[in-house]
Amino acid sequence: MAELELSRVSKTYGAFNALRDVSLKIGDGEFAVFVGPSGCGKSTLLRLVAGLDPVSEGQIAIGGNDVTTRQAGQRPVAMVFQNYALYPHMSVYDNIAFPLQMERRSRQEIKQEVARAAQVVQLSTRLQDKPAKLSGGQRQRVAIARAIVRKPGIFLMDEPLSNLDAALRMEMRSELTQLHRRLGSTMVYVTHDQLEAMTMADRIVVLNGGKVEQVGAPMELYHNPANLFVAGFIGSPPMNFIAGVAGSIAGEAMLRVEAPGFGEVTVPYDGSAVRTGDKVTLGIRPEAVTLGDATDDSISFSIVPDIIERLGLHTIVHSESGGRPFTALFNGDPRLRPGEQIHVRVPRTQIYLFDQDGVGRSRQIAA
Amino acid sequence: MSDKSLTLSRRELLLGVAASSLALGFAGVSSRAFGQDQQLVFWSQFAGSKRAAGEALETAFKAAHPERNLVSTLYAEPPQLNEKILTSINGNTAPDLFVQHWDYNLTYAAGDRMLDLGEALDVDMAALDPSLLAYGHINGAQYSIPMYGTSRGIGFNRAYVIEAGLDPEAPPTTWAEFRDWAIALTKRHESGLLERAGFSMFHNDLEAWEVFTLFLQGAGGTLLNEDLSAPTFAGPEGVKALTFLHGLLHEDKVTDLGFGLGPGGLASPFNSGRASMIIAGNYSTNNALRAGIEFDLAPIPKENGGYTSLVDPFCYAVPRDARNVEGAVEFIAFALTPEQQVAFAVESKNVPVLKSAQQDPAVQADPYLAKFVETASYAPAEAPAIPAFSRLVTIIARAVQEAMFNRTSVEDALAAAANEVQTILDRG
Amino acid sequence: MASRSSATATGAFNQNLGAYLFLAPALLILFLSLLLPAVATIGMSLTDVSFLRPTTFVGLDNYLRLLSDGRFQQAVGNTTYYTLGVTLPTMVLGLLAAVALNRRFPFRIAFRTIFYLPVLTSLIAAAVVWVYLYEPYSGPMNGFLVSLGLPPQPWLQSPDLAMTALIIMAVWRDFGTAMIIYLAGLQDIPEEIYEAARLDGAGRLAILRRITVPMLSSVTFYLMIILIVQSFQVFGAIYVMTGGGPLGSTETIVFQMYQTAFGYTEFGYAAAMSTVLFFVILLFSIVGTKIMRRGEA
Repeated sequence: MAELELSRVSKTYGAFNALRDVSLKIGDGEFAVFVGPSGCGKSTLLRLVAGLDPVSEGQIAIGGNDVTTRQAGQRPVAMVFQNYALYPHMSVYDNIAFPLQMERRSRQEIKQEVARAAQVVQLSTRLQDKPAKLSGGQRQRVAIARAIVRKPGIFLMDEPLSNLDAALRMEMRSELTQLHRRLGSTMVYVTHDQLEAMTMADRIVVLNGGKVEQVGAPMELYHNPANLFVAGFIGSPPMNFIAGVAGSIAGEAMLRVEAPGFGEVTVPYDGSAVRTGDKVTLGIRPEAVTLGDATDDSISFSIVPDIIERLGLHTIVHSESGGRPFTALFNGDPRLRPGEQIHVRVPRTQIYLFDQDGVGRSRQIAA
Repeated sequence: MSDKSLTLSRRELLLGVAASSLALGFAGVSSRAFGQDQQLVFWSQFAGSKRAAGEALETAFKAAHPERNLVSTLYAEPPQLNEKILTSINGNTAPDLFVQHWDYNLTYAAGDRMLDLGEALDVDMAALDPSLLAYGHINGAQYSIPMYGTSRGIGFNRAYVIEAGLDPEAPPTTWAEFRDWAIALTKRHESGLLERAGFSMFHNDLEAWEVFTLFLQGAGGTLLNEDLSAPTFAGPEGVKALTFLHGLLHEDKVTDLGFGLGPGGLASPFNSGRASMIIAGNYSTNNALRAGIEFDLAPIPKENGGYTSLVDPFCYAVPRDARNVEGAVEFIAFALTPEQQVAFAVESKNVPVLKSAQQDPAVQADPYLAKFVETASYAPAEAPAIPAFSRLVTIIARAVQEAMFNRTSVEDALAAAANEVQTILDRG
Repeated sequence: MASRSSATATGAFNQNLGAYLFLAPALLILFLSLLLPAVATIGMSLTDVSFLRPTTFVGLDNYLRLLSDGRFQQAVGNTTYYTLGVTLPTMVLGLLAAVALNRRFPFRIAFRTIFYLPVLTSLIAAAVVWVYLYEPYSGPMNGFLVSLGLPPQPWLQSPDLAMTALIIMAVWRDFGTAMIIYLAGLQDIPEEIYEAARLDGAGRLAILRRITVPMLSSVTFYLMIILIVQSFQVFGAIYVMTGGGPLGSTETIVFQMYQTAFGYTEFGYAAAMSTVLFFVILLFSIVGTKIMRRGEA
């Protein structure tokens, strides 16, 4: 059990800045997910925490102790790798026992610990097998068991589910969540899949280009994305963006925006400095779109569906508006046909506003 | 064509492949048996220091007998020629004539594969040096005829002899004097590290056998009895000889154990100035002179006066099944003419087999060659001409070294070696 | 039943007839160059063939003679000592060099090249150079010993040392091969496994012992067989450097085989030696394979 604190951590490989000035605090027992597109620095960050790579600048503290200069293996962490990184020449038993053998624990003690961990991951009957004989999910469990026996303060998981098929991935997701609940230890989980992040995390750290874009609970990130990147990354299908130009302020914390193809739209904003004539971006989540004409607190416009994806529970409509794609998600299975124009509306409160730097300027929504 | 005719089992195919392999093999052998006109095929071992002499001889023969159509192949080392001859005799592709170190020829002769040159050759044998000729004589026939021999003497470094206050013009005449020379010519550091061996005894198996044999003869002994049916080297003379050598090494410390063992050449102890005396042969001259050593030669003293030596001939032999016996015999006769004998000896610095050539002014004009001719005259007229000679050398060399390395006593080493040699002689 | 299964076998064979016909020329060459001589050697070992005198069948006489032949036993002992002496250090040094040079540091390519260079030199040339290195009075090897305050050694001149001297040279020559093969093996070990081990608290030595070495076991096995087979057949260096001496201390089976066949024209006896050598090597390979299989199971 330990909390993790990163202070102004940077990592450079030659001239390449993999991580820039990352400061972050993850509480004890928290399930934190680092998410971002590939190359965003999330795996690098994990490796720095693990001690596999040295930091270029900054400090890392675990449980209040500065571990920046400690070698891997001397930090109270355990890691589950994307490719499991099992020792192929050892039996399942020896794989799990290896960290304990390195600690020179007694044979008897090791046996007990391995048995306990194997039970947790339901592998008690496969202890004598070599990893090659196991399925992908079972290998993943061995890797987890190997992490469990170390009784680490922090579990580090580097895209642990990416090599599994979809069904197994779903199953393992809930298993990992349960495991976290059961062990109560801090977990740092790296993924590029926002769905995993949303479903598993207590807190999500969105990374992009070596920088932390936003840290927060999943719903917080969903409802109040700090910037265009987070807004586009969290949520599926992703948010629609519409370019516009700021007009005058209308009433209390409302801004008029001139958006080509949409006309003048009045949206709520946080009241900070947006000057008339600034380029701004409007964001509309596909699921905020409903069929129908405008009302007082919503705007309306028409779209022409190109592709209609019927999922039963939802229907996703892809269209193009003003040369830019626009996606809408409707509940149920409305009668739509490709090429037939439809009228849709969006509540004003669900239109996001981003200033010319891409920073979110909407009014905060309580998550 | 029906399907059936194409059916072929795996076994049949493999058998077919095996059969065609064999057929090809035999075809290869038999085709080599044909297709050579009347050539005189000569495999020569006139390599190294005797290469120029050999080439001159062949050129002269070609000029004198163009009709013989001489075709020669040169082999660098006797073992290489040996491998070739052994396989060719068996494969029926042997040459008409070859020249080889004598002991190999005896091996071939023991298998009755060689022509008796005593009968086939129209040459006056009495004109040839009997001690060289003895090495080609086996089972009552002269299976190989020497071209030349090398003889053995004490090779010494004149500069070191003078430096030690000895007279290079009065070399040792007895073992005792030899011993005095060896001691006087040895130089050691205060630490005992050998700087210069007074007498570097041997540097390989062949030389170990040689030095023992020379001292055995010096004590009045022989390697084998008169009819070559039993070893005699382990008798009192052999013990005396080996004990003397052992004393030189361990008591007089004229050299170190294993000193200079190795491939020799210019890096040998004598040629690199780290030995004052060695057992030298004709072949030693050029390397020593090239290394800048003031080389000189003395005859090898016997225990109580008189000299002894060894000769080591290279001999011609003709396979019994040779296709051109006539040409081969003609070549040998040509090589034994006084003119060719002298020319070869002068060019290669070896002792000619023809007695008259040995005394030829041209030969005597070469100071080193003259001395080797002289030492050759001290060689016994009998030779240990047995087919298993190379084996005998190995066994005796091993015994000599076992005694020298104090692995066993002189008596036991020689007795065990004699036993082993007896077994081989009995096997025939 | 039996006829039916054989009929299907023939059918399958006929389906592949084309393939077999394509293989036939290669098979022909194999028969001629490998199988025929091997069978002939075993056949010859039952005779007293000399290629000179008439040959007679002697049954197992040659093998019985080998049993009581002290020199052959010495050669077997020498060969075994040489083989062990070359194989083990070559593999250990090759592995250490490979592990050291598998990491990124400046000039590592240069080091790899230097370590591999001996493999590329001609054996005879190398042997001549080593004779000079071992020269007891002016050779660098003794110069080095003396500079360390140690007494000089008669490397090739002492029956107790000569074989060891040959082994040192062979290790120098061969460990580059072992290094290259191990380097290739190391490329196949994923970096993540090392990282996992580091995170599991394994130190450098533990990683070498528990991860690297076991994961290279198939490479090690391959190398071991190659080295054993090669060492059992050592000839060239001995022929050039010691001629089997001093006192037969560097006489190996193959050297004695050569001497027996071509020096003493006892081809039958030499064939028996060669047959024994063949089966010893075969035995080593089978035992090695068995150990390997058990390790994998």
